[in-house]
Amino acid sequence: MSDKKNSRKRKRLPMDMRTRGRKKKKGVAKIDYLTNMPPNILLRILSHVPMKSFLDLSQTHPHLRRLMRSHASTICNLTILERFRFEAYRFEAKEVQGWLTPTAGLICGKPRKDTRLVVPGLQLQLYEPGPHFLFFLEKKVLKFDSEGKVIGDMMAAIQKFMNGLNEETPVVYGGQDYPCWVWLREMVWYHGVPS
Amino acid sequence: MATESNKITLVSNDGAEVVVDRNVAERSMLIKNMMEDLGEAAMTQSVPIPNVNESVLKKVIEWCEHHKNDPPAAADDDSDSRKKTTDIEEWDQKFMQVDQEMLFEIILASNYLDIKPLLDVGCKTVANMIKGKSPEEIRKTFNITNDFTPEEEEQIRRENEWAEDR
Repeated sequence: MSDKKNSRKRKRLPMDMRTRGRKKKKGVAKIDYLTNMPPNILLRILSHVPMKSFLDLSQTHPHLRRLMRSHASTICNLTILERFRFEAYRFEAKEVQGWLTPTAGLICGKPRKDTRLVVPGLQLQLYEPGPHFLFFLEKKVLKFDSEGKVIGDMMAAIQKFMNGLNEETPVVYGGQDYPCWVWLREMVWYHGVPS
Repeated sequence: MATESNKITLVSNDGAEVVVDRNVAERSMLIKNMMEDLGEAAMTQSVPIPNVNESVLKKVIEWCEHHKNDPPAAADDDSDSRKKTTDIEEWDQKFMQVDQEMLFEIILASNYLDIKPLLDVGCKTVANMIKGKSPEEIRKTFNITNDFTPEEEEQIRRENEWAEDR
């Protein structure tokens, strides 16, 4: 009973007494404005966040986690259009199963022949729908000159990048090896951990 | 009501009247379209802005005033898109040095008023506050409560164990 009384008293203390003269921390919110933003605004904010931060952001609040999982293709598409519009145009990116995916001839990579894939069917190609096209763009695998032409051997650069993604990893999970892209920080927010 | 030619009066949701140059107000596509629909009548009557309060409206107008001579962004200009970065120009950075309540109010107002460049600046500012931070740091910055269930926490722990940088 006395505890309840004390807690009531504490609640009634004026702000300056409760804070005991401590200064307010600048830049720290009192109210959670971020997760209360409408989904269209959150998606727009996400389109300016690098993929490396996606996993961290998805681990902050269940609402953000659900939104990112259920709108993964929208987030990637918006990001591509916002930050990589030229590249999307150059690679003739079109929506395939909801994902902006390159359709130009330049993306016909070959599967790695020397890859020992313990889990079959896990080799990615750039023309397959998924978040890896955005990852490819963020990594700036291809560089363009002032006229918009690719500098260097475009096919070789793409093949090298895809080989890296499809490379088997020494990490063994559940008794099986997985290719690199499965455990990349930039991908785990979407693919999750294999069960 | 408009007081001079080429000036229009905006009325915020708390009843404040703000007189502004038409070309400044027309940075907002919502107002621009409204002006076109109303024609001459728009110059003689007040324009209600029901979703925005006075302080936010004044802040938005301050931005529009500074950017009134910016060229309009072409929606399909692919050639120019490589110039886009997450960088924010210096004036806009200073403009966005406000508390989080105002920052998110500006974002909401620019979304409602359809001022895409201002919306972008606001979203980029928030994105910059997220970049490179751990989940705990993001929670602290935005005062987010950790509402995950123990099962979700376990899943997150496994994700962090699994995910690797390269």
